[in-house]
Amino acid sequence: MDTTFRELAAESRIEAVPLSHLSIELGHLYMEDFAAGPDRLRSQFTHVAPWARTAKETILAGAKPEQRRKARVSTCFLIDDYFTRFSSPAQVVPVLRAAAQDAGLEIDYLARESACASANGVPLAELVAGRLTPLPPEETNGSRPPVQETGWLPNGSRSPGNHDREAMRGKDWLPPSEIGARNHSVFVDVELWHDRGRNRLYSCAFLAAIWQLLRLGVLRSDGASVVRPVPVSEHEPTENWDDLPPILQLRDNAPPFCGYRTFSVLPSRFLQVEHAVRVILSQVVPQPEILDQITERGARDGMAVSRDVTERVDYVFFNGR
Amino acid sequence: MLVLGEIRTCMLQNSTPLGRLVVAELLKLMPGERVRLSDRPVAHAVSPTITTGVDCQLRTASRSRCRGVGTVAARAVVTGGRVLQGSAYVRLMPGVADHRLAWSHYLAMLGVVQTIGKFNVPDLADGFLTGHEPGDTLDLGAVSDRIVGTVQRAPQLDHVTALRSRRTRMRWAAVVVESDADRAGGELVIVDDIVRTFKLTACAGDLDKVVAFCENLALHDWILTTLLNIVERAEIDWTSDVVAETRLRPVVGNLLHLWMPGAHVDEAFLPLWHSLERKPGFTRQWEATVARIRDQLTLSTIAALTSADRR
Repeated sequence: MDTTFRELAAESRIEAVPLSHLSIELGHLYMEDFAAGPDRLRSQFTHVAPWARTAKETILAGAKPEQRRKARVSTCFLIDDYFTRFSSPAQVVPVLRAAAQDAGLEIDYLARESACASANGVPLAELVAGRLTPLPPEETNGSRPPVQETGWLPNGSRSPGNHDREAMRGKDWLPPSEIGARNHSVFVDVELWHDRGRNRLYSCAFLAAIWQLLRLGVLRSDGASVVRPVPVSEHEPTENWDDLPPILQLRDNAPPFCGYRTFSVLPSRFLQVEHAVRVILSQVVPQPEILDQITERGARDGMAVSRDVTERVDYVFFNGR
Repeated sequence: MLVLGEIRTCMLQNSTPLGRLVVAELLKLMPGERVRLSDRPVAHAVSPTITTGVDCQLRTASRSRCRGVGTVAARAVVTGGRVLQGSAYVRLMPGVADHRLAWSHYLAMLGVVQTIGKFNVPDLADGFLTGHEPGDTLDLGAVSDRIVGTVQRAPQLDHVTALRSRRTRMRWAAVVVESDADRAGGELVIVDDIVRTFKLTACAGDLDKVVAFCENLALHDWILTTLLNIVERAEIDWTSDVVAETRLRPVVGNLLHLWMPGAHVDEAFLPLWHSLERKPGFTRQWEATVARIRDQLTLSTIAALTSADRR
């Protein structure tokens, strides 16, 4: 006779998060957009609407037909309450929903940008910073820790001249180089945060990368999900941004917030930020158990989901307001 | 596929064994990830996995060139609140292209290094095990050392050495075979007083079990090596009370209860332990040495009592 024995604290447990097939980001609101009035918002949503429809068709094209009919597609919208505080949720939320509806769109989830830094007591930004595995230049054999400038993340090797001016004196300048570049480099060094006294201010690019990771469903804190949308019926927007839950679910019965794939429709001024987001995403190592979970469930849902998170993220950038 | 690993084993720099909660805090090397804690049959804690990117040449026995790109997985393990291990490993797989791919491709497979060049399993395994200093080639030992260093520097430790011991190094290679039927025995080599190599075979799904087995083997090899070194040093003046007090007594408090071959090892790998028990006979040597220490301590206690009586 055999006895089984387990110690739960010795096992790694990962909570599964519900997943849509596709998460569409309808926009990203800054103070100036809101200050410009509802017409600006309406015009933005009008630009976004046809792309959102196209995204459904193209991204789900790979799914089996019967799965495509039943496909779950959720929409979300990000409001900046981290860099500037403006107006109040009680005023912004109704205006935003109305502007989207005028363009034939429905916002399922509303998220606060500050929630990407820390949500429900979980320091998400610290958590993601801990998961950064910088890409190694050639001849990196593990004998030395990776060269890291605190708060910066490049997509290649920095120019040595910038590191050690004294040592470089009298020598030719050496350029930085993008790792994996074809012939020529597009070198990018992304600022993740800077510290002012005791306060750490995270960059828009870093928070936007966390926003993507949240939507991709790959973040956990001690195995528990960090995405917990609160229905608007349980939490009417008030006067204070801090009272608003990190993710507010505006529509009852909306498909899950996270998606196998994400799609963002953004004005072209976000291009640089999103390039930086890609530089960051390509250097964040997700927990393998989470990737296993997502790819297995994707297969059951008729979606081939890549283990490479950057292959699950799509964009359209448009000109005009 | 081939799995390569290197383990450093040493004593935690603390005057007393650490409790469960302190160990959990000590091993929290990745924010948002749990430390795995097990209390039976002996306290055992495993840190979350840390990854390090590499792109370098791999050592081969034939000296033919083979480049590897990917991530090294590494973790810290604490047993009995006393013994610390830094354990780094990679799964080597043939690459899908003749050049390096986007970094996100490699991050999708934690602890996998893909080769660019000829993927010859025996050549790579032997090169890794029999090679000398890694030089510019993949250096798993340095990754393990770094993780040991990170834990040893922690402010929770008082940095007092409870027992003199040396950091041992175990380099291991597991050749992945199709099925259990293809699995062969292991090959343990004691290279010198600190370096050991171990070669084994395993099935593809057994990676975690292989790592745990090798850590367990390295742990027991270290405990035995440490004990033998202490006895060897004590033998110079075996009968002195001072030696008994300062060298032998700490052994009883710090090491003896940790001897549990096969604890936290999957059943599929227990036969390997059993064969190591037959030859070289780990537990036989352990028991003989422990008996010798206990006898000596008893004798020195009796001597102390007798001399107290005389006075």
